Amino acid sequence: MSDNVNQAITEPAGSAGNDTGWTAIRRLPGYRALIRTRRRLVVPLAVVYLAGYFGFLILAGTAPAMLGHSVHDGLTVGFVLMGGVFVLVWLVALVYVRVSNARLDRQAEEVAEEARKVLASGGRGAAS
Amino acid sequence: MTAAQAFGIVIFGVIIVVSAFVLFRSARRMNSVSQFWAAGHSVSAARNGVAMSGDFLGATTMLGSVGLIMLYGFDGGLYSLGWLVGFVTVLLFIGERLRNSGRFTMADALAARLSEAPIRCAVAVTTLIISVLLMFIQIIAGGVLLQALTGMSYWLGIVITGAGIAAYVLLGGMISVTWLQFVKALILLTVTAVIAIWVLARTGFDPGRLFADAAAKSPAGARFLEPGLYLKSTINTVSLGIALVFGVGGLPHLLMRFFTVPGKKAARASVGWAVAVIGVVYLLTIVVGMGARALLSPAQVTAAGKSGNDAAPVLVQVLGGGAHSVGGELFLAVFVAAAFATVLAYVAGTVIASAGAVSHDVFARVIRKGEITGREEIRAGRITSVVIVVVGMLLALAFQTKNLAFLTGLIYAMAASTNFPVLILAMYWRRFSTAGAIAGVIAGGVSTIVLIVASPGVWPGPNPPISLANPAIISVPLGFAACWLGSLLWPRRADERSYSQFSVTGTTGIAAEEPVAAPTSAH
Repeated sequence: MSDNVNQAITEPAGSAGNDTGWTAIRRLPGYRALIRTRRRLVVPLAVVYLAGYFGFLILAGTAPAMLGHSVHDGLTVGFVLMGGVFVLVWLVALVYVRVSNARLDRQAEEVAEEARKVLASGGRGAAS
Repeated sequence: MTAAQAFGIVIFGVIIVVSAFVLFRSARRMNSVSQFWAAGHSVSAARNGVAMSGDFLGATTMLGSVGLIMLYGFDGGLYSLGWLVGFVTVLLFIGERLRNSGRFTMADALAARLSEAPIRCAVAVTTLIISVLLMFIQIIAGGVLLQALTGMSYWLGIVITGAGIAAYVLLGGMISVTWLQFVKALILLTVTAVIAIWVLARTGFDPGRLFADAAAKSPAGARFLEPGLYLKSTINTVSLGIALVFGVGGLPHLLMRFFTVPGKKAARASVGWAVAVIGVVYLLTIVVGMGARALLSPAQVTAAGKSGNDAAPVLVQVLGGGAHSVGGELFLAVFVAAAFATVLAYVAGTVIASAGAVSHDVFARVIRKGEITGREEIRAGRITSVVIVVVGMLLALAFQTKNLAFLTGLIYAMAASTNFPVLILAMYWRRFSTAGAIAGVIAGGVSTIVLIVASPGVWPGPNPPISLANPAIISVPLGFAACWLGSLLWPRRADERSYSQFSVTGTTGIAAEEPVAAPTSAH
């Protein structure tokens, strides 16, 4: 903590100088619930698409001959899996967009309402 | 003049007339800074999504990716897949939050979280490097295409390409760039679909037979249909995958597109559209590339060039009836014209991103500290655009080699090791500091360049020090590590404080209408 001088420097014009309101919002139960819901949606989806894609790459690197087996003429196991990753990516995107539209947006709007109240009363308001 | 060139000149004329129409329509509405950089935040999600796929599908797709698939079969297809996956990264982690906390450029969002002047300058540098390199590759393609289309010389092709792009950005700003990208993506989708269906029709709509025919024609035989022809080792494959999956999230011209829509919901829907369009185009690309291998004679494969960049045009000519037939020449001309439109639109997108970095981020916000009129800022943007186009043209005249998709992979490594870590950590790590961001940009950028220079394919000597074709597997973790270390060594209380506001606005969309970091400018 030798950086007290640095820390004393005021913020550049434009950013919020006093942001107690914003920190208070982050402690709202509604806000925390929103973050949790989002995390519960995003983390599993991220695991699915990253594991699917990199798993496929590693498989391609370590077992090329297996991926070269024919399923139907020239259509090899490798190409079928590649098609599967395409579909997986589409599904992940679809699920994310659908769930966000149906649930997260409404939840975020409710939190935003509360947040505006906090900003108007407690902290210095940035929203007009 | 050959029949092909006559067709070519007619079609080139049509492109010019149509795009000039779009240009003048949009130029009429171009009257404020927000119109110039972000099309007034008023583009619909569907149109922006298609335009976003356009930001991404360049000549590298129509030429480079098809060529890689024709030459290397399965591995060429693997290359295509990564880009699509990269969009999901943007969708899940970056897009909406960026829209909620920014205004015109990605640095606008970062400036609300970190110390404004240093972060804007750092991101301006990476933006310039990434955008100018992407642009340079596309301009090369434009010159080659114009040469093929009309028979004019390469350098004249470059000059005309550059002049066309400059006119677009100068007059219409982001409005005309968005329209151009939208129209071009639809053209590209149509043309690729027609070729793919045509190829499939030749093999009774049986992809199995198509792939088998392709393997039979390939010198590699059955190995054409399994991994290993292009990406020799697992570590190389994974490294490339990292560059693509995380690089998309660091592309300034693509991130800029999030600001053209009204809000986070439209931002999210845009990516959804883009994922759909890009996925379809890449699946079609695999069919086209395989078709090129199955249907072309060995002499024609050779004619497609050592790096395969001309595979698609040669294939189109053969499908149309062969060289010197009316059909062959006509279809070739249509294809080349579509590819040329692609180049124009793609470059226009990268030019406006670079101009944004220089004239909005550095000139207007850092040098003038926001004390600038809208008129002045637009003028600065126009001057910068011209300079950047000229630089791109000079680079394209000086160098003209390598498979286009290969080069693009390297640029994505740069984006994945600099901009991507900074954006992600700014959004999700409270203790991330300005010094950490600068350290990350330097470590990620320098290590990318050093590793590329020392890699096979670039190293001048016979024994390259590293056998890694794409540096991402080292440079991306280095970028993240430097961000982390820099933030621990030089923490900054103000950065931590602004995290609350940044994450609240980013998550809820509150105050996205009136971004915090930037006062409205005079019209």
